[in-house]
Amino acid sequence: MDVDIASVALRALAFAAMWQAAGIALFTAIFRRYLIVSLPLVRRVGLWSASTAFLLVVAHHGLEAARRSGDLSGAWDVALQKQVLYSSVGAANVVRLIALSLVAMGLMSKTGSRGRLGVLGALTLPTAFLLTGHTSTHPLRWILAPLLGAHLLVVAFWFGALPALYIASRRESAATAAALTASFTVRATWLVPLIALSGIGIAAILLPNLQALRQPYGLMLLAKLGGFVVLMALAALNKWRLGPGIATGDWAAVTAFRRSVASEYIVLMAVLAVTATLTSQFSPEP
Amino acid sequence: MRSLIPWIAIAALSATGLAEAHAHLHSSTPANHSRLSVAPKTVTLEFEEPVQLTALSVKKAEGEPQKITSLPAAASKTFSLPLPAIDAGTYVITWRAVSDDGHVMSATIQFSIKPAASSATK
Repeated sequence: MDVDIASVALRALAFAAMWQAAGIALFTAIFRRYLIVSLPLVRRVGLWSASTAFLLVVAHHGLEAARRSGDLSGAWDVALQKQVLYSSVGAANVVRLIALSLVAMGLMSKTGSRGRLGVLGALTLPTAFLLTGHTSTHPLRWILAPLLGAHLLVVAFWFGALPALYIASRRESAATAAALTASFTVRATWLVPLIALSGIGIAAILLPNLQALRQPYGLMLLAKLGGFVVLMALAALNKWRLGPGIATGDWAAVTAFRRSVASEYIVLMAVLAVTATLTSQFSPEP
Repeated sequence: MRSLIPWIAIAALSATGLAEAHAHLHSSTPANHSRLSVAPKTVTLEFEEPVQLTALSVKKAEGEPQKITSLPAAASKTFSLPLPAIDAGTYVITWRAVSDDGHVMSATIQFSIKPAASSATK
């Protein structure tokens, strides 16, 4: 098995599980009053995501030594494993595990006060990504760090909201589901464009020139941007057509809304897969 | 949402960073695609920034790679390591290294060895 391919696959799955867990922690904190019937299931999905992410981060960490050696036997190399543990990659993974543990603790709690642990975990998770990679070593990291932090936090907010909205549309009353969707849409309308703005800002700093957009790293960035445009189109459809239809309780409207949310989820997963490949295998510099 | 703002600020301010840059291979000896008349005894890799060399191997065209063990543990910009005894043929050296930002880099260096034919005496 190619260790690089295995590493990218694990990384992509870890991204999805991580941001879903963090996003659900944020969603339950912000929109708790609308999750009258669906809160237990939403929390369980979040908890499952946090647990899965924890295992995937551990597995990816273990595979890192194999990546450094070029084949799977490197995973059993004690010296390489120690090297990984004491590197910025190791530090980032430790922060990820701590953050995911906080998310899980918050989601397990039925009280609001301990639920804040989940929010703390969700806010801590992006900082792990500032400890390693191009953002961590660039001379302009004082701009890159907050841009990347904001980028990841809003991705988590959006990605975690999708399964929660899907569940709520099935379980809550029409009025509650509609109110929840409307409340989420108000916040998302302001927050989601930050993903593109921060992403473009990061790209503008990391890419040496416009010609770099023709290189693998730049082409993948453009693919991410394309995915974002598709996502915005789906979100607009939900906001203007499908979301308002939920309040009527019309079965066709609710089904169409769920299908649209599921489509957003799939496109976001694809964008996360591209991100995992981009950040593992390529460099902004030619 | 407002109660989250202080936590967001704490998370943002807690961002830290390292000092080095993502490194690339500057040059190698033997050079990539070079044709040699004498088998090299060492391989030298020069990087633009200090890296940790984590894997190095050499293999003949269709053969099995021979790993070069005892790699230096410390990061450096230049590595010079002994090659195993090799004869005429086409070889590929494969290396992997980690830059200070944690990225794993790898590449190959191809070279061929063809001993010079001795000139006929008149």
